[in-house]
Amino acid sequence: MPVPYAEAVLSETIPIAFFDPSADVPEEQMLFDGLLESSDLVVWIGREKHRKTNVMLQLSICAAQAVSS
Amino acid sequence: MTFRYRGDRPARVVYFDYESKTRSLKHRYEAICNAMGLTVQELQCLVRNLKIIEVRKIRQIAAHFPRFPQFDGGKDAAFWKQLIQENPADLYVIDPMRCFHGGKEDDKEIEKLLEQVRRYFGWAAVIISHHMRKLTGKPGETRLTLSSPGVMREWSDGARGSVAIKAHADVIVCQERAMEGDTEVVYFGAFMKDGPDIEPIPLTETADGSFLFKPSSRVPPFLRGSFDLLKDVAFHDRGAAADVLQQHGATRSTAFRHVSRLCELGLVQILERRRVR
Repeated sequence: MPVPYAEAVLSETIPIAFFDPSADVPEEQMLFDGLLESSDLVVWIGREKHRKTNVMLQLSICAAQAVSS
Repeated sequence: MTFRYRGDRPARVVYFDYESKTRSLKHRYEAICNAMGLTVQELQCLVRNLKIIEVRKIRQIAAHFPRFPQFDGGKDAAFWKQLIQENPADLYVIDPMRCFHGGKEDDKEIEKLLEQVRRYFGWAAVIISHHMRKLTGKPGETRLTLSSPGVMREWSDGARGSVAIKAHADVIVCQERAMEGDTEVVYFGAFMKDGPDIEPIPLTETADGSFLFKPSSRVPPFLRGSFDLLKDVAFHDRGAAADVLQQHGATRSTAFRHVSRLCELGLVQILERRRVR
């Protein structure tokens, strides 16, 4: 059994987490290959009237349908 | 576009639309669904999974819809916690940032905002749209084009709070519209903390008024030779396509770069097997 040389600790008084190299890490849930996965924070930059809402709505419709965009 | 959906089920999406009029939103929504050719069952699936919150309409009927809180505690924070709890999603879309929060859009305020967004929205993916400063029209202004790779970081400096955005966002999508002759072209690219850049892809509407954007089929001159070698063959992985280019004299790195770019542009399709989780 491997001995972890760092363990995850969540203290009751100070919220802190240490990296545990022996722990299984769940795979991130990919939404769109190469673009977006779970817990991603995305800032979508563009000028006004440059179709941002249009393309974001298209991406949302595709995600909600499970189809590629 | 050219992004393969990898979820094992349809995603639950909550879209906060702060600006659209209902009529305009409906027009766009229906046009995209029509252009995609969705069936009745698919439309029902969409209605179940995509919730669009019309904040403009909520505010027009004089209901209170608080801005996203800068600090914990208080009624606004409680409202947002409850709103997120009652509308769980895999993906939240906030359109646009300036209507969503009540702070300034300098680096310090945007940094606080993005940290707060991470804490409130947990493991869901969050997309926030953000306006850029207007074009000045001066010569030498950075634009997204097919022939100018590697400019997205510089281009994104035109957004307010860009230093904080680059420090805190996992993905920065860059989108710019241009008229090329009579054709409207939307350049879509992205750079990220933890993945390769997606150099700008030119998108055009599939038909006038369809509101559905797909990669245009123009082949950039520097990819023409590779495209001609690959265009009529179906490949099961990128390595096989790169092998063909290497057999015709390309170096390994050039071969993979060209295959990757042709795939991004939707000019070459790779029949990759779906990844098993």
